[in-house]
Amino acid sequence: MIATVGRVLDTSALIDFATQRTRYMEAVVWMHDAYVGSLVIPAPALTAAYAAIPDRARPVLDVLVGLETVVVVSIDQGNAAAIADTLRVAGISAPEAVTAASVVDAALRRRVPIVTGQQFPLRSISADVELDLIP
Amino acid sequence: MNAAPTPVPAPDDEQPQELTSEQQASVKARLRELFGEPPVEMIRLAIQREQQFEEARAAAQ
Repeated sequence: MIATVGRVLDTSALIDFATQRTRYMEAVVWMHDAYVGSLVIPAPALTAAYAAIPDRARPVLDVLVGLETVVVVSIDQGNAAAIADTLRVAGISAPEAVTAASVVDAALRRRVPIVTGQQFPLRSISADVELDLIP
Repeated sequence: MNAAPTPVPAPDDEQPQELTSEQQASVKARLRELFGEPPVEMIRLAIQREQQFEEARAAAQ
């Protein structure tokens, strides 16, 4: 398989992987098999995905999170202000937007695309972030 | 597969670290256990997307 520059996975991508709605996310995971932490999952997106999937799909997400190629990143003192600034610039204050902003922040920091099933609100938060849309 | 290996960009305090061959085999084994054989057509599409991102970045520079 090949090594590529990496991806940030948002809630819709995690749900897609766990429920196997498509096989695109599986393909993305197969592609990124060479480097530690090349697939980045912001913790708020992981939390939202666990809340959205049926219990039978949880073990699938557990496996993904346990792969050496996956890293879960938290909101902490090192990125909280930057995520808040992203929200403020976008003029968004809804609490759910923190999840989307943490995804955008993770992608912009690493200069990698986001795998997602939906452009919004990611695109409304940042016009610059690259989106890898699930077909 | 036709793309050259590229180090993973990360924040300045995180250095890309390559998986050992055993770790790569372990990742593949766990994916096969979950889903069976790799989805070849979707992987092809994902590689096309990767090339498009690379081209867009090159054009933007």
